[in-house]
Amino acid sequence: MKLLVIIPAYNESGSIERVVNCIRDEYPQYDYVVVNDGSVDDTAGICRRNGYRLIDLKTNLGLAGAFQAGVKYAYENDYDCAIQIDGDGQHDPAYIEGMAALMQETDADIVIGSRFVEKKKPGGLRMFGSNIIATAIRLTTGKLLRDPTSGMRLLNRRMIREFAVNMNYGPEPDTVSYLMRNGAKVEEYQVEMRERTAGKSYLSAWRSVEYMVRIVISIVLIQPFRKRSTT
Amino acid sequence: MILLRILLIASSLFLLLHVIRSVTKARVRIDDIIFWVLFAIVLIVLAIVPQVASFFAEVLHFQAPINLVYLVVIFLLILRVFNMSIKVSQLEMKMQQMVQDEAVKSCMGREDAAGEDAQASEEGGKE
Repeated sequence: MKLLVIIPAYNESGSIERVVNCIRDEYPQYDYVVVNDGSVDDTAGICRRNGYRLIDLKTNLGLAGAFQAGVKYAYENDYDCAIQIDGDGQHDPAYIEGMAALMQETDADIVIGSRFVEKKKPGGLRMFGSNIIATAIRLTTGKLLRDPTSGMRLLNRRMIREFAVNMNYGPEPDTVSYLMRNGAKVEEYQVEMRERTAGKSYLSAWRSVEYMVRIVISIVLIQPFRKRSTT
Repeated sequence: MILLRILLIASSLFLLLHVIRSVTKARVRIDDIIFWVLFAIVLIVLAIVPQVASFFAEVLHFQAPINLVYLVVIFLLILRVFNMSIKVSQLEMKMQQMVQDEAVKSCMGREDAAGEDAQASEEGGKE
């Protein structure tokens, strides 16, 4: 199975080397591509000096645009599946093998690296947002998604095509809810995630409130009315 | 007041419907219409629970609640227009950057090619 690891990176000069070296040296069976999302730090320079395979976006497109660029690369190069591994090092590539095996076993369209399949979700403010999103998805799709905000998603060939060519297919929980409603098979696979070690998250404090509002409105009010046109 | 409320509810619902339809037809990015969905919801709330408008109108010494509704609508729209200005500026900046990068790159590519050609013909001449 030809698998591509897509590594979106925005200002990740502190961690990108560790993340990519790990994949390159310890998991040479996977191809990878770094998508530099118009970083203002030295992310692109580090990638070039190390000779990483790099899609270098000249301006900042946001996570959705950066991820889509990576998926387009996967689509053009005819990969069987593609997985998002964040440039901040919170996703452990050791789980890719298990996720890919689960995908083949269950013929799933998407396998999500989930923190809460076997482990219980901790309480507290951090999981509050995750719970609201999970509830919104439960209400609109009738299906259970334990870790909707996990960015570690493995897409199969059908999904690569769909994500590559369509609008409003950001790598976010609302897209997953829309696909679940419209017949895509989504599985979850237990993973552990590391705390980020360097750099700032895409989501800062105020941003995470905005993010919540955006995702919940999208899941509850918009996605239920979207029809899946492509097959 | 009742007629106004019915009008407000009807037009807000129409707005909401129109906004959602534009997403289903893939004409707009979801990020760009969240504002309009929130806007429609605020109008619907104001229409269904006019006490909200009355309360704030009294607190803020407005002559009539409807004035407050107008003010809120105008304010939100002005905010939106301002944000659109920022967005348009950023888009123009990004486009300028891209066009320049592209042109500089192709200029450098031509110079490189021309240099190699000149070198090749020079070497050819020596033989």
